[in-house]
Amino acid sequence: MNELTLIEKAFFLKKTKLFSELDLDLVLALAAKAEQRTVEDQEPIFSSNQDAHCLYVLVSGKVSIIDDVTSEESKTLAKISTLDFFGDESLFTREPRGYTAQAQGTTELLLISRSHLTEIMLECPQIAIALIRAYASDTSFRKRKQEVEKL
Amino acid sequence: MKERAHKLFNLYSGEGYQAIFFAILAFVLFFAASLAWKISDALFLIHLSASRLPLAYGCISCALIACVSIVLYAYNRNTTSQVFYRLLLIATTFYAVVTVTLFTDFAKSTPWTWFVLKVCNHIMYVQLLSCFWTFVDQYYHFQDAKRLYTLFNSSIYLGLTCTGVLIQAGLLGLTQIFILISSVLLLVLIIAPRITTHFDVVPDDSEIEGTTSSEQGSWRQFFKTLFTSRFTLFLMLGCLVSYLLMTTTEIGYFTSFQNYFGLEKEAVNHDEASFQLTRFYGTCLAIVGVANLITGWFFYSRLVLRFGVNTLVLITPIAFLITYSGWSFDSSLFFPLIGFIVVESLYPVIEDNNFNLLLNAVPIRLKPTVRVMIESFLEPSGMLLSSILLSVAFLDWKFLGLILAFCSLGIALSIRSEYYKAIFMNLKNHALHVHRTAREWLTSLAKKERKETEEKLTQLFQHSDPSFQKLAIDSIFAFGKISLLKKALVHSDALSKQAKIHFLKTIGSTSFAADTFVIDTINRWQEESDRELQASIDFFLARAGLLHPDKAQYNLASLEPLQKGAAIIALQHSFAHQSLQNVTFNRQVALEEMQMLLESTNLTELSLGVTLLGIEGSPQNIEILIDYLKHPALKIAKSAAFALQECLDSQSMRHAKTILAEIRARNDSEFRLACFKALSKIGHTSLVRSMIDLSPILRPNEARLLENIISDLGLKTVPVIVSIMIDTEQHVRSRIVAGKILAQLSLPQLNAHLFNTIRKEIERAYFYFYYGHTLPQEYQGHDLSLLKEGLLSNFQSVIDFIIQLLGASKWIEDCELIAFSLRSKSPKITSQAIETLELCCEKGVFRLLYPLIGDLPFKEKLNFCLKFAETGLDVPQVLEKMESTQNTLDLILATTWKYRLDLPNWRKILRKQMASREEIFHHFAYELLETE
Repeated sequence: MNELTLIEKAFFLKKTKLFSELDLDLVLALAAKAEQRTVEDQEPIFSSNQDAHCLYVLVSGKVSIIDDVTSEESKTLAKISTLDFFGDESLFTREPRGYTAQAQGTTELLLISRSHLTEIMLECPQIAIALIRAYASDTSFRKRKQEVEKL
Repeated sequence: MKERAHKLFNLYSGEGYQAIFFAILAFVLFFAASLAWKISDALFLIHLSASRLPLAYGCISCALIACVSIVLYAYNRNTTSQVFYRLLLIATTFYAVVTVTLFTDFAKSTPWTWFVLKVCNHIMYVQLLSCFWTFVDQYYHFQDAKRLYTLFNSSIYLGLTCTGVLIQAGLLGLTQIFILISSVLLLVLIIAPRITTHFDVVPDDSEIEGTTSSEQGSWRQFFKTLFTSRFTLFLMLGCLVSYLLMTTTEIGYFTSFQNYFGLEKEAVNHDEASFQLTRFYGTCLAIVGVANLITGWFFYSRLVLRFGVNTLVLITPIAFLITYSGWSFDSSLFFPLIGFIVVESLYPVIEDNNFNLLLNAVPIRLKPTVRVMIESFLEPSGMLLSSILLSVAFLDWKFLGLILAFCSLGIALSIRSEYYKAIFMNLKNHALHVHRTAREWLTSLAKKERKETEEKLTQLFQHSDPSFQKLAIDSIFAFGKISLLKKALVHSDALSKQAKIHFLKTIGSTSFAADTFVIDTINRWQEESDRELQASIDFFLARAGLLHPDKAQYNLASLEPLQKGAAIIALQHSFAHQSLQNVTFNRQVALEEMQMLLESTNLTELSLGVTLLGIEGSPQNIEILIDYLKHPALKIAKSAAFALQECLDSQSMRHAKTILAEIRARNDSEFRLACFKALSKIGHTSLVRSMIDLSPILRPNEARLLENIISDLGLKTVPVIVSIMIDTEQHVRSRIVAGKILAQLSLPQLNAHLFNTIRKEIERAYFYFYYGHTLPQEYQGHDLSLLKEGLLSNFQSVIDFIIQLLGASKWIEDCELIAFSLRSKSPKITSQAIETLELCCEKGVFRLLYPLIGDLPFKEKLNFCLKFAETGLDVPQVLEKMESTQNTLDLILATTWKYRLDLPNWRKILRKQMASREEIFHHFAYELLETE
């Protein structure tokens, strides 16, 4: 894919659930800082235990989320499709990546750095709400770390 | 003892272990590397003579240039640490091979062995140095670098000094020296990775995770960014000229030394002369090494903190200029020795340290590549160029040196002038420009990209996804170009129903609404038989006065509220030619219908009714709209706020209070923005204070609109704004807004009050910080945690106020940017923001402020508090001090705690305070007095 123009990046971001609430001015500001990246088939986007710096928005292609930390054998946890985002967890915990993300086919991504994500959240708190909503919709009960350890 | 050592080396408490480790690593590593380098230099001179140096430098240059792509490839494929450790492995293996070779007689069979050794050792030294600094850079940010890099650099030169001492002592044979080098490197390779895993890397948001094929295009991106940074180009050019100067000077003083020791003369005992030259060279190296150590350890960091790197950048070029000015006229050993000192002392201590600091002003992403390019490409290119230049028979090297010294000074002056801009650009490139409008964004695009964007936008009208079509419509309106709109409307038939409705809704508030091309297109849409779309078309046409009342009559019975609304507007305002009787009748019908809408229990109908009141724009509607503004349903209140924008004028002052109260009562951003716009229609200066009072509850975009509205009121608002800004009783956010407006309206007024205001705030900040951290956890059985938290929260507010005010004062070009950057989670960005603050801010203010905003260990900050704040107060004294300030929050906090701790006379003082305080304080005071 060719390099996306500012407006195209903005449109893709605006189409995601996370940034849909942003108005055009703000989404353009964010798009101007979003970095485009192409990853070839089967190449890792990031690996587990790697330091986390960015949130990824999938523009095209598919991404496999692979758990190679908690179990000895690699296990595919999920397949991410277009306009979804991933890689956000470690940005907030400041811990290394807990899983590997691998491209399935040629994949286009937009990368948003931790500090830009934080800044845009301060400017538009609806993003934080969208993020919480995304977490809550995937969780029936939020397990506390101590509880997991006890188990 | 430990504290003294910290002070001596400018270390902060807690960072000693890591700093000492890197200092030792630098020493050990470069002891080995420089030992190899210098011994090969000496061997080269002895076996091949200085006349072969240009050839050697030529070979070194070519080899280093060839290394660039390998090193950059390595950085692209591996982490910085991996590259460093792999290079260590290569170096260890290389010197082990050299050692084995030296055991055999092969090495001594030809003098060219020493040639190869010099070339290889030089390359190894350069690569180790470059990778070492890139490796260390991961662990420190700019402000740390200013204090610590000189320590590491000095350690490198301690290694160099020891090299000189070892060579001079002549204790070890050649093979033993290389055994020592290999062993030291092996030791480093084993120990260093184990220790560095315990250190935290300074997070850098510009880092990219993983390695992918996208990096293939990174060279294009690199050059694109490089050519936009004038500072980087000057820095690279400066380095190239410096290398030219270094090589020229080095060849110059080597030639002078040879002449002095008579190595060029056939009659002299060659072995004796070369022994004396080696000893002399070793002594000079040792002396210079010691001087370097003293300057590096004790002076450089202090000099850079005192004068700034942009001043120190001039020292070496000036020294070169002095050297060559004198050398041109004097052939004694004095100027060659000065040249030697500049190359071996000033260059490594001042210039190298400057270079490491100046690299921080290079665009963050380019930094490692620029370092490699400079050290592995420009340095050898400089050497190659100088060896070519020196081979030119008619060119005198002294004359060449003088010309280069002038060039170097010119470039240093350019670097100095570009430095601040470069740091600022780095911040700007990193920051999110949230205050830019879509129109500004689109017009800021390069011509090619703008054309591409316009093309894409028109294409998006045919996109299958309606949400893309809607975005394209918004963007085209934001562009504000009629030609683009016309081009896009050619494809308008491809727009979905939702997109067309969105288009009709949005176009009303643009300047394109009356364009005939637009109206023609919309008329064409009428051919589609969709009720919802037709309603929107009718509404648009009615607002434009183009819907005929006869048609409107039919629409009154429509089930679509919007169509009904269109009919009402048409009956009221149509441009169609009608008899007077008809006009009266139509207006009567419209009024009745509107009344029905306003009495409807259906929120959509009611909202439409309210909107129609706004479209009518009559001042008589204001009273009704103000009532609807208080409606419990947000939808209705919002419609009322928008409608009020159409109706209010300068005569509507009496309604301002209600609007302000509603802004405070409702949290919705759109509602608040609409209310502010409505207030701007009143445009009365007496509203300024009440509007600024709302600042603490406003979101950033709301505050920005407020600032613009008040600025538009003009200079007559200045006295009120000044009074708010300097009033410590006011909330800090109100004061910040006041400061920013004042900066826009009257900068001299702001600057006149700035110094005193900021000084007072810095004092307050020290007080809050010190006692927020040092008050005991418990006092007379009461937990003081809340008091301490209150003090620390006040500290943050005051710091925010100072930064914003400094920014607004235009000491700093973009206060939002600096404030954002200082709050950034990336320490590298924060440290650059501090550097900008230092460069632009008044020195006295910065010195006071730095301990509060800098990334200093807690203990260091407390030490500064002892210097600048009133310390030693106990809890009651702290509360009394807080009570004596004018700040309401302080007073509330102090009184609450006096009450809790049951300190004497709190009631009496509280009653006294009530006499001069505002209403909110009275509420609090009564509550407290009644609690008892």
